Amino acid sequence: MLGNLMIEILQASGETLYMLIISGLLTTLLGIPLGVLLFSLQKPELLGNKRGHFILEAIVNALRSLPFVILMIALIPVTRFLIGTAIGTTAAIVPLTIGAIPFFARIVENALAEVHPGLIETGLAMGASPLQIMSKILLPEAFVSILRGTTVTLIALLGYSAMAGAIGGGGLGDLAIRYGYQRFDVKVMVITVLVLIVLVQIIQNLGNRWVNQNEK
Amino acid sequence: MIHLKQVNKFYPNKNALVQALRDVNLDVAPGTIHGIIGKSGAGKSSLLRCINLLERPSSGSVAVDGIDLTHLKEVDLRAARRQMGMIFQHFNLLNSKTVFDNVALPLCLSKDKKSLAIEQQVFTFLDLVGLKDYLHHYPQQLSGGQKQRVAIARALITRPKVLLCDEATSSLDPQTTTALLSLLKNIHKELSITILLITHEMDVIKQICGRVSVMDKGEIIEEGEVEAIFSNPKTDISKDLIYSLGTQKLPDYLKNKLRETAFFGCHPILKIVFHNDSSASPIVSLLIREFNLTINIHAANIEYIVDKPLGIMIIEILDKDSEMLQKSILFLQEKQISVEVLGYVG
Repeated sequence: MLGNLMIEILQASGETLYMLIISGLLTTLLGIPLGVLLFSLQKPELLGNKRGHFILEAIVNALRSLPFVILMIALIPVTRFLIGTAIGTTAAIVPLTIGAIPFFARIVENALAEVHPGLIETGLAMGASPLQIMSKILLPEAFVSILRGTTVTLIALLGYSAMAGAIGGGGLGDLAIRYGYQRFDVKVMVITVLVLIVLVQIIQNLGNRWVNQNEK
Repeated sequence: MIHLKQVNKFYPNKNALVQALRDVNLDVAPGTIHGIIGKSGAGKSSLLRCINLLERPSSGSVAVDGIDLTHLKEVDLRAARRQMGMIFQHFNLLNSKTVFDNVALPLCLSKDKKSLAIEQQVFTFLDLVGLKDYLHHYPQQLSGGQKQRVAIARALITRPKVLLCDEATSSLDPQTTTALLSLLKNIHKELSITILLITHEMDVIKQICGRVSVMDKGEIIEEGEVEAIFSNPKTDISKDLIYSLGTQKLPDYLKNKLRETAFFGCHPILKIVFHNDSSASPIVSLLIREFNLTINIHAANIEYIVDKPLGIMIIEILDKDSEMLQKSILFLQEKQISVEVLGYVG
């Protein structure tokens, strides 16, 4: 009995990590360009497009205004189209990624906005193109701040991934609901909570170490 | 080298337009150091930014090295900007990059880069600013003066013809300012680069500029050789800026007693300005000996402007013989010394 439970917990942790890693990678990959775009569109020196910025703002705000549980359900057709099914761990990655991208994009946008505005001017004075200002000046300067944001996003994703369990996404959330909520099994609940706490500690520590290595 | 013609600049502000530059004409000859001085809000910062088109003038033309920049395409404008170095009040270095990478940055932006050549050039220019031992330091490990030196090396590495300095010494202490200015002076000599700088400190102008333009409310209100402006400032603003050096100000006790017209038993107060060779001659001694005058010196100072002396003295003549006074004034004027009767005291 206890052996079975251990296997289930390990499996659930594996599923959670799988969701976290894949959606984390996709979020970073897609969130950085979106954040860069959000920032550049509102800067006349870079892309400077008021209309484009307005539209993108509206989309990002719309996605961010939906609670994750609702987003998950609303995205079921999209998930089915992309993955072929709306149930399971892989299927959960779709709403997780789509939910986290606007969040992370805002973090990237803020990190870029915190770079000393004089540096854009400096880049222009050197004869840099908008693309070069972004890639050679702003992104390197914002890098550490984006790293910090990545940690925050990963931990938020961990929270979302537990919610994904509620609609059959698997993982620790699923375990907690099945045993802890439906069967009132306190032991499983406690173990799930402990595993989650340990995971958050690990992510935060790795993030901090990475930040420290890159901070000047 | 730099020619601005009828440059106007408006900024939209709420529902009104604010005029930052008003019909500005400026000519900076190749190989000179030209200063623009003015109080904050005078428009000097806008003017500087109109030269490399960080700000686009609302009207007028901007030509650098014979090229009209206002008509260039974006790509050509970038190429033109590489011919102009710029340094800033707050240095604007990249904190995430080492001194080496900061200085190399402008070279990494242009398409024809050769890594070996870049390394060599960075060494050359860091050596020029005296920081070749700081290659692997990060900006945060440097002092303000050192940061500005890195910024100078970065601005010069593309071998520009023009260096624009935006209040480059305003966040540095007086000693560091002097050191930095003498570095700029050396660089100017060595590379025969044209330097245009803006500042609100007359001291900076005095130390390195050949010519100076005085700005107020978006206009250039006075322009000339630094010596000429210093010895004979025409506008109130230039007078203000020069007086802020604390040299020629009338002492308060004298200012309160001073009357504009002569009256019975009064003593004239004279301001004597002498420069170049005349400051070497013993004026006061001559006046006393030749004209038998009794002189009281209220204030006196000699400034060195671009290494040439400029003396200013405020004296009171205690004699009542007005004939002798007239003769002595003529005598001074013959010696190319300017004399001005400021007023009379009892």
